[in-house]
Amino acid sequence: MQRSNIDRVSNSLLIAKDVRIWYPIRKFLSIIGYVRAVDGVSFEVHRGEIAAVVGESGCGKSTLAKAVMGLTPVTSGSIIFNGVDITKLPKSTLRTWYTSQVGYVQQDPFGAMPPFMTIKSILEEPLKIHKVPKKERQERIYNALQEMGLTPPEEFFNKYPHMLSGGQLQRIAIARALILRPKLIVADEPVSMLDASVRIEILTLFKELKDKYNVSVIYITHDFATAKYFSDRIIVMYAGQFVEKGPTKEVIYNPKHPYTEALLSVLPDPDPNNRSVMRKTIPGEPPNLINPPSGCRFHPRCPYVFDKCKREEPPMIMLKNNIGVKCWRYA
Amino acid sequence: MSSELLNVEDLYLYYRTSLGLVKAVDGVNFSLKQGETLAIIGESGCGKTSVARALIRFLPRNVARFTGRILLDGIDVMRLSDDEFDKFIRWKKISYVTQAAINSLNPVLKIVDHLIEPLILHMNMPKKEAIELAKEALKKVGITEEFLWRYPFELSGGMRQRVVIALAIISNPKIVILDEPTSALDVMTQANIINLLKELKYRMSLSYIFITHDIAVSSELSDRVAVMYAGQIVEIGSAERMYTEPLHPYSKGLLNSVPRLRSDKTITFVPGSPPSLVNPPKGCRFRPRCPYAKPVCEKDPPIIKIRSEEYVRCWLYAEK
Amino acid sequence: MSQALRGIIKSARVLLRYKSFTLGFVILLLMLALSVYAIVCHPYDKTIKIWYDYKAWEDYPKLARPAWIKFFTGVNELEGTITLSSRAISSGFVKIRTPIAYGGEVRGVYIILEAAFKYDYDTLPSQIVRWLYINSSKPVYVTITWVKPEGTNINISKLMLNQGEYYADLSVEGLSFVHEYTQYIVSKFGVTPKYELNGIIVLMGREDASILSKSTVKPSKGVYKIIARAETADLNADVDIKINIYGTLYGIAGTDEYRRDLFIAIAWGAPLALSFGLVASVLTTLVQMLIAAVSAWYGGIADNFIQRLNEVFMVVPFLPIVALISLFYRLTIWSLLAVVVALGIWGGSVKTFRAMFLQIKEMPYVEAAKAYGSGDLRIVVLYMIPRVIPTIIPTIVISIPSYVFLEAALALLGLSDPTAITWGKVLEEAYSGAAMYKGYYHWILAPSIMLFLISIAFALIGYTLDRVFNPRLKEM
Repeated sequence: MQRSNIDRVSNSLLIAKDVRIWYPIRKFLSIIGYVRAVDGVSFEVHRGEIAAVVGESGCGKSTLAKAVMGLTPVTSGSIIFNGVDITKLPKSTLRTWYTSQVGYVQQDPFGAMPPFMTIKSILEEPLKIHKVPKKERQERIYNALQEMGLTPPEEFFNKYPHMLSGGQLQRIAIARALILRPKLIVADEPVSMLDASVRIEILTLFKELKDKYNVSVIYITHDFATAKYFSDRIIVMYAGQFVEKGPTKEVIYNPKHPYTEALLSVLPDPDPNNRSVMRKTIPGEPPNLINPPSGCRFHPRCPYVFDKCKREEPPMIMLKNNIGVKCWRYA
Repeated sequence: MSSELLNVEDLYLYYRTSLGLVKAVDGVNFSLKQGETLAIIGESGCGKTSVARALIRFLPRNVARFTGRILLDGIDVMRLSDDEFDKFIRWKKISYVTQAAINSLNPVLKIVDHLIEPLILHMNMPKKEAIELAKEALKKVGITEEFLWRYPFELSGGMRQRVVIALAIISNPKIVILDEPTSALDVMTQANIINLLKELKYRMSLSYIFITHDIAVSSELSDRVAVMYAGQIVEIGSAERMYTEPLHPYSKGLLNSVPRLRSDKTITFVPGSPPSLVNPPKGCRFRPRCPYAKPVCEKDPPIIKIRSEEYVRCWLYAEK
Repeated sequence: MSQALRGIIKSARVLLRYKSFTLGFVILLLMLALSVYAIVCHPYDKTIKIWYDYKAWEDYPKLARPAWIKFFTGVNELEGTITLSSRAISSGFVKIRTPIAYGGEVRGVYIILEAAFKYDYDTLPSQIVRWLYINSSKPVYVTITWVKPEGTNINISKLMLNQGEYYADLSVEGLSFVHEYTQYIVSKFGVTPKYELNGIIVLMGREDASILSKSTVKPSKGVYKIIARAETADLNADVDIKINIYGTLYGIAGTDEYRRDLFIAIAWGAPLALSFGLVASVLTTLVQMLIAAVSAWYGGIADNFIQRLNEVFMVVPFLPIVALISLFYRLTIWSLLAVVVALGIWGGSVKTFRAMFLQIKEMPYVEAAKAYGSGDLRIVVLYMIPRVIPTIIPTIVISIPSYVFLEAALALLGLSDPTAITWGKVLEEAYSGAAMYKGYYHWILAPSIMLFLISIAFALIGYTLDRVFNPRLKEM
């Protein structure tokens, strides 16, 4: 495991370079095409920051999350965590070392818990696997439950998942993700399945814990509003690629990419005047990932499209203030 | 000239379960005018879907109590037998789009078969006439005629939702109950469907009962808002008032917990979780979570009328 | 551990609320009681030896029906056997030795054996048999006289015998004393009986008009005497006699053609059936589950290979293969078990389990486990298998009877362990002994009812378990 000297000093916990994840489509024994779930994505996550990846369903954000977790192999590109390229690591090292460095929170709180295990066993599993001594395990589980506001902790030890609410289970999921003191947490739509009123509660808690343990978070969501509330930086994803990235406030109040602009304009805030306004939507649908459009993938739907967009794929153009846009209008 | 189309008084719906008596709808009152949209918002488990089921009479077998008055277009439909309700009311005066309805389309039936079935079964319409109506309905929801002959899997999620809406409006009902119509869709499609619903509302003078837990989306369609908690309506009022200055502490809490894109208001949340419908707390059901709770809240709060068709159930406003 | 116990007690309480479960459980308890009785009171090694030692059952009636039938028929029948023997003390025959003196010298010895018994039953015995045990260096002249309560003396035997053991079945037709007696009847009543008399009727039939027709013949009630006289020149000779008057009823399950107490077979059938069925069912299901888990988890080539292998074996016909194997090899009941399991694991169940595992594999919590570093084996054993256990427990229980029946069927075909005392074996012997045709229904009914009961028991228990563990439509 060679560490690059530059990265040791820098603030970057995770650097992804040109990651591509293509799934082959097989007909009998030959490959007739690829589903390009993630198609050339680069980004950085700094220590202690929350980076949100926002996109609609099918844009590839979940696939990217799994690749960062080491659950899905990448077709090309690298993901460098703390100086180590995890895409080149042997499977055994990934399992024994990397899994204690990153935690995973999934979308479905009920599906993420084995229904036949008690809460105590569920939280104990990662500790057992990584050979944490027995005494310390008990302590960590107790503290984890307390931190999550599930008190008194003893009462929750012997409960089963079906006895708890979605919100409580998601707290357990977060506790489980944090219990090995990872440096990074990947949260894939952690609050989408919860009631709107519980979302803020969970995200607030999540934020507090992130500050306490100085852990970075990659927050995957389709909801700009919670991303605005919960993240430091936003990356907008479309059809397997990043189209815009930048500090949260910038992206939300000053969207540059036409797609970001369109998305933000159709999302409502609670406002009685909404009912007299027709939302301006863009035509079409996200493209299929087997045969994406030529040039810029957004061009069939873009209100500002011009000739170059149809022919050449724009690069990620970096503007001031660490903002990136993948659009020819900013060349 | 709009008149009162729907008047619900003292509606109760209880279920018998192995855990006890679930009081899903526990004394609900509201009304709806022609062309008006009422949003019923609340957390999951507050009973809003049960209200929908009560109105359309899709009831399970373990109903323990189903009482009240539902005046629809002058008729108390609670007095009708199940047969009569099926014949005259359901799908003719009031229709229902269920949650995740796009998954409820029968994968082995073509779209046309879905649309003509209620017409042939309930209205004894000849097939040719039914197909014509189906074509019109699809046109209204913005789908071209060729899709009549396709199967559901050949349509995208957004188009399937449109088909479901077409199904709901094909027999020209006066009220359409929409239960979370956009939760399974992506943002752009959601916006398109909301646009469609707005259009249909104006063109066909439809009244909607819009049930959702997404408060921001509810503001796209509603003229009036009812907030439900633990089987009861705790506050009902005009959209103008409810989205800006709600009175009930729960309504306030709910509204404050919505993250906003266009303002930097601080977000807060209501701690705790809703009570079980089997054993709701005595007195005001929100008391355990209410920041303004007083000793008097241990008694059932009265319904305080604010304006015509607007009320709040809270001791804080009892002095008025 | 205590948590598992608490879980079991809680489940037990829930289960007992179902009448079907209680009934099945009661029957199972009965089977277990029988098993305990068999193992404790008739230890296997000893019992097997006796079972195939026909001499050990000498004093038991042949094909006797269960004794409790008398409560239903109201007829008083002889239960068991009246054994009159001179060899055991206080067992019927009294022996008197008198030397034969002739011309002042002892020339020989008279041995007189006398016995008496009372017979009060309403039906005739099934058999009368006599043994003579001669221990002499010179020939012995033996005469046996049978005295009926009416006073009639019948001369059964007049024999000249050397050393040895002599057996005679006095029950049959055509014996000389039968013939004589028939003449006597004819002369007494002036009518020839319309059927051919046999020894039992002669020796014990009531001497009135009823003896003239087979349908009306009744036993003579009262005290019978048997006198045997033996004389021989060997002064040290010894003569013993045993007379068995076999009844028509015996015990809880009656007896079979070999005079064996069927209850022992019924009792031993229980533990054998239970253990065979349970072990076969559990082993088969567990192996099926493991194969399915490996197949589903590793996917790819391994999955392909295992599935195709499974399909090949599915085509293999079960019964002919078992028949072939048993033709070439002597199968004990445990090697039969091994064969049944080896052939039984292949089939649709592997596919069903595999489908379940494939579904479980996609569950988010399996992915979460991979994310926190769980190895493959741990996931399969701790996360996937516990998910299918509620499904397989009822399956195991419900399939137990089919394995029990399988063994019984194989035994009936002669393909099972020929020495094991199972219900199937009893049925096989009953079948060979043409029990159905000859009317010995108790021989067939006893094992059949047991097989029936055991399947009902496990079916009831299994289906209740299924309802409790795998609820289908719950109330909303």
